[in-house]
Amino acid sequence: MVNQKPETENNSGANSVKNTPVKKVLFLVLLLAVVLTAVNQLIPSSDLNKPINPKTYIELPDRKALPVVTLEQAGKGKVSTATLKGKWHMLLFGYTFCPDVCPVELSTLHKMMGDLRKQLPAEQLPKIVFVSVDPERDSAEMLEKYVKHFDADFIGLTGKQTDLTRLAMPFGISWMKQLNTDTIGKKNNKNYLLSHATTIILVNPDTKVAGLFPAPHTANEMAVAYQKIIQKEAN
Amino acid sequence: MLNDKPASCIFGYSLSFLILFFLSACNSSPPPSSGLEITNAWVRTPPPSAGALAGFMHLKNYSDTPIALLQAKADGFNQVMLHQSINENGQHKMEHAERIIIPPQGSLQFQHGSYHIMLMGFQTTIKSGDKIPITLIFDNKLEKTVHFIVKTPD
Repeated sequence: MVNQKPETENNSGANSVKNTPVKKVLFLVLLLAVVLTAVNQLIPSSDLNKPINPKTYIELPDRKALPVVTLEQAGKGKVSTATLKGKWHMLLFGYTFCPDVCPVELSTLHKMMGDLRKQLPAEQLPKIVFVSVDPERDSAEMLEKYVKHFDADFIGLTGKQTDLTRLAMPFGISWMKQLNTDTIGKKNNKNYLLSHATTIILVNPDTKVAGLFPAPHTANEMAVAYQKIIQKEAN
Repeated sequence: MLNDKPASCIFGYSLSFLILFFLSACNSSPPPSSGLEITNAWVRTPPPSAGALAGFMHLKNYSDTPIALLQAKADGFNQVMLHQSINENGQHKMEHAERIIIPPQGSLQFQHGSYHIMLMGFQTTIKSGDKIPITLIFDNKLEKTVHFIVKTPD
């Protein structure tokens, strides 16, 4: 190694002095190398270097604190949203009578977790919370069984309508009972549907809402976005 | 022994070609007399304690007139409805579809985020591999009972 260096220096020195065409070629090669390196820096080699697609994730300019409300979790009883401190959380709102959208959303999040589990250490993984906005029909126990069907680590929470509204409203997430033909005019009818927002809230370890994942959700895109977000946060 | 191998291979290939030929012949069977064909009928395996299910299928109309799907019926459910999922500004809702038209010589796919048969309120446990008979009622007085297979998609 020590012997080689002066040798090459000598060679190039000799060439540059004696032979100008070689000097030109060398210069061009060097220039090409510089240009290629610059281009390589500009064009990212992997998805992780690209900026987050705004269709996948919207970063909130002012990080509002997640409202502190008390909800219910099977096996744990009353749980305050303040206890979400210390880890990243993704909150999704739905209900177990949801025929089409919620099962697909939860499957997508399970796939996303599969991607993330391969890429990140356990302590950096987000916790997925499915919040039922239908406490009239969804008990905490039912919800627990429902979410665990999709992923053993998913958490199910529900609570009083007033608390659910206080939690979700600041982020533009709302829901309402739909009046379908069978429910109009019938009291105590349990066969109603809900229209609801499918936006997913990302809560940081300080229980501040960092941003929103608007629908439609893609497992891979969400996994990539999440890694970028926590990477940026760590720097 | 070595010489036998290519011969058996050729035999194997021709056999698989024959099987393929017969299989494809089965697939290209003449369209049903009703002019309507329903394929890939399935229901997503529900999580325990799920309150509602969605049924999906592919409908193909071989006739020269439009066919309208008007209603779906299934025993064992409190409510069966034809629905369309709609997403308006991030707000997701379902609308009751009263007439779902399958165009002449055309097809229609029931799928996530679009048309589905909503099955709500059931007492029995529904698991993967089960078959749910659903009767579909069309405008040309046609009624078809289709067995929807319960499965978890990939």
